[in-house]
Amino acid sequence: MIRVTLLGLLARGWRAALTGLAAVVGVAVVAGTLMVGDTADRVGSTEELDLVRQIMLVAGGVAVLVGAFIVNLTMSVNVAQRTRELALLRCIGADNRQVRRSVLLEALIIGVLAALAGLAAGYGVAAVLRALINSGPLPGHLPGHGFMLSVRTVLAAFAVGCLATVLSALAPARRAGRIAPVAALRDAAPSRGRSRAWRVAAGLLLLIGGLGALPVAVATAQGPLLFPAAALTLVGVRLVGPFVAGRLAGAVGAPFRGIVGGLGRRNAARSPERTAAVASALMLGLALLTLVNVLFASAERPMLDNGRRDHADFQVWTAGDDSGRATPSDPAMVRRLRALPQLSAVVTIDCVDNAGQVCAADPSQFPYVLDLDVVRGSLAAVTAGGVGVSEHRGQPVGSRVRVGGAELTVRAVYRRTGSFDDYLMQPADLARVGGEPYPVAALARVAPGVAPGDARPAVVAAVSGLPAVEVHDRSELHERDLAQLRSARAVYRTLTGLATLVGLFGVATTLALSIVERRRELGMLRAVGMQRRQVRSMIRVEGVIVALVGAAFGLAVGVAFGWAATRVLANSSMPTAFTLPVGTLAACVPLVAVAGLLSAAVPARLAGRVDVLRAVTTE
Amino acid sequence: MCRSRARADDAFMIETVAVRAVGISKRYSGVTALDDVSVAIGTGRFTAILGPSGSGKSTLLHCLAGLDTVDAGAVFLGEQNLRSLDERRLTRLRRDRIGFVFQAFNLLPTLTAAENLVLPLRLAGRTPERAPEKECIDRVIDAVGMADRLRHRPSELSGGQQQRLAVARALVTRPAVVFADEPTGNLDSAAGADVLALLRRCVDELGQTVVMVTHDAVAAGYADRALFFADGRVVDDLWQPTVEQVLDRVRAPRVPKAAA
Repeated sequence: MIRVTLLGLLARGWRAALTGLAAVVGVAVVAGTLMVGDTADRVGSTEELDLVRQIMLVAGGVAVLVGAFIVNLTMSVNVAQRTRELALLRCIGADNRQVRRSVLLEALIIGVLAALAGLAAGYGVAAVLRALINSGPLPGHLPGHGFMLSVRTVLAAFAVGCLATVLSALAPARRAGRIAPVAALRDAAPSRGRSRAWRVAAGLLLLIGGLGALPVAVATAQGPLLFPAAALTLVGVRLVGPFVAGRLAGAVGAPFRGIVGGLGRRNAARSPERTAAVASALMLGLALLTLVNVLFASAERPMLDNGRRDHADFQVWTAGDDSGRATPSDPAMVRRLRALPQLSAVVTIDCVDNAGQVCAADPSQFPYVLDLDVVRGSLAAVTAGGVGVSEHRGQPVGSRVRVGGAELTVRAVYRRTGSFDDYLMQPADLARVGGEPYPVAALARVAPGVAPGDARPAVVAAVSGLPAVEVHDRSELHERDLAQLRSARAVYRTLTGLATLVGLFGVATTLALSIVERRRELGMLRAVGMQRRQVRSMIRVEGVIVALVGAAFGLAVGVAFGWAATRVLANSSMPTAFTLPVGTLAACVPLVAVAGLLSAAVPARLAGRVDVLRAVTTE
Repeated sequence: MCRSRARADDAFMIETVAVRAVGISKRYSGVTALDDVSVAIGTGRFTAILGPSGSGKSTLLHCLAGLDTVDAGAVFLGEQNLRSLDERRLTRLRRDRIGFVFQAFNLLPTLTAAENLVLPLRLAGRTPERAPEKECIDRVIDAVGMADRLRHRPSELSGGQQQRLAVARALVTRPAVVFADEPTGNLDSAAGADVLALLRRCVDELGQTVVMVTHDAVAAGYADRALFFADGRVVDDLWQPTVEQVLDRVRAPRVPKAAA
């Protein structure tokens, strides 16, 4: 049986190799990350690379998952195409367990090969990672040349590669075992995945559970609930997918007109099971990509908003983590600053961590330096005994609140920012709250008609002599924050783009396999006068439509989860305001279409080369 | 199907030639499939090509139809030398001037009967909904008796209906020649007889030229002329063959017999 399996694999050559290709990428990411990690351990820069390592391992996991989806799909197609061959084995005496094991063995061999290829490709991933780390986009530092290849990395690569392929092959192997010997005698058409009612029912239940958990997570602000919800949704889409994929393919493909476009559209819709399988593999990557874009757009908006609301031209604070405590409120320094004719307002902010973050600033001066987004009431009303409360605490204007040891009346409700988490009150009241107040910063605004650049030397001079104190410009601060956010976004986009890329492999693989299946049909089309060019266009249309169906799934799921995640994070210390980056998401659609076109390039060439005589010669 | 071709006068064996092979040879990896074959197929005739499997009869059909290339010699469709055409022109010629009927029907499962029928027209960029195509299509549908089945998918049709649909598809472009490769090979005898009668009507009523490869003596009985093939050569040429004659000929393949 082993010999038969090996010979069968060899005979199918590139088709067998295609199956493994999808698994290689995942293995490569995991192996590359482990190599970087081990190398970092050796040179002693472990900790700073921790974050990168974690992110990359998650990305590798996603890539492996997508790869497993595709391996499952290609193994299923393989089994369907080999129905006759497998039935013949049954005819000549192989029992169903042997047939099943032969399929699993094949998966194992493919897994081992994928692991080897993945290890080799892992060096490339590691090299790219090192370049990214040392040139800036990723944090950390990784000197030296070459990478450590530890036993652990090798074992992990084989475990990931073999597990992904063998587990994905379980269901196809079971199907192979059920092939009746008589199938060898029939001119069996490759079986279409038949979808049963229970599949829809189960899929719908999972979808309802998964998506239904989102509002619950938002209402209860339980972020971790999103993870099981994602798992349920994923499986739900996979189960329900075949029922919508056909119609969706028809709808998405509607713009493709003419006989060639029409045939491509119908081909994309003809086997909904397969289209759905490819689409859900692609969905994973695109959903993540969408999620990342929604999250970053939602985080960027409050940040930009803060930039607009921030009128403090200079922020004076203490460098270092432990903030040298008393310095920004050093009375002498504040007096010197207030005396500067170049400045129109100087506000000191002191906070205490007691029953949330409680800050004090002079509310009458406050609006000059920071335009806090007041929802109800007004900051001017926050006099002695009054307090401004962040909206998320849900306390109405006029109500009495107890903050630490102080009993105060709510006079204003404001939208939370990164700097003012919970309460804002008069400096005199802060002492009554209790705890140990610490100064945060002194905010200064230039006088009308003074350019911030001109005022800067005077401000710097006023704080000189206080070694740890730094003067920061408004534009510099906001640009730095934005730049940090955007470089993080670029990294996440790249990683999720990688997962999408693996999904596109799936489009190419299934298209190539379906062309093998449809050789006779393609030959007939050529015989009755379809030009090679037209055959190629037809396959490309099919690739674009399948990719777009995946994009539709991915965008829908990604936006739903993006919404939930931003709502959950809305009142975190990194506030988010749900923003749909319409432009970016809309740009994904043509990008995916082009990617579908590219992934159909090789299958289209294969189809164009199909021998016309195949159609007319009956075996 | 839509224009009436002048039938060849029976007084002359061949008045005009639809397709002609001149000394063609073809070898496949050491096996000679065609060995210096010259045949002329008359316009408006129903010609059957018979022979045991491996005799080269299918290869001849493929070469005449421009599906396969020849190693030596030349094939002419009308005045057109197929050897002088490149891949694209050859495809266009197949699309516009040749019709095919395959043993395995070869209809597209994703298209309805009506859509399968007009596929060659659509590939050529013609609009089947407008005259003169519309009129022609209606007559073809009428002739094959598929009017009530047009909305069905091939999988919902019987074998005989599928093959009649395939014949209709071959006729719809008004080709110079219809080539049929074992058109009754996958059919029971009643459905097979239906298809053969349909091909016969195309020839008699519409002057269509039909070339059919078969190994079935009964099928050959519908033809005007039977060419017998063995070892890559034409070994016999029978005019107005009867089933008995063909059976005799098949039973004694090695004895050359004068043309009737």
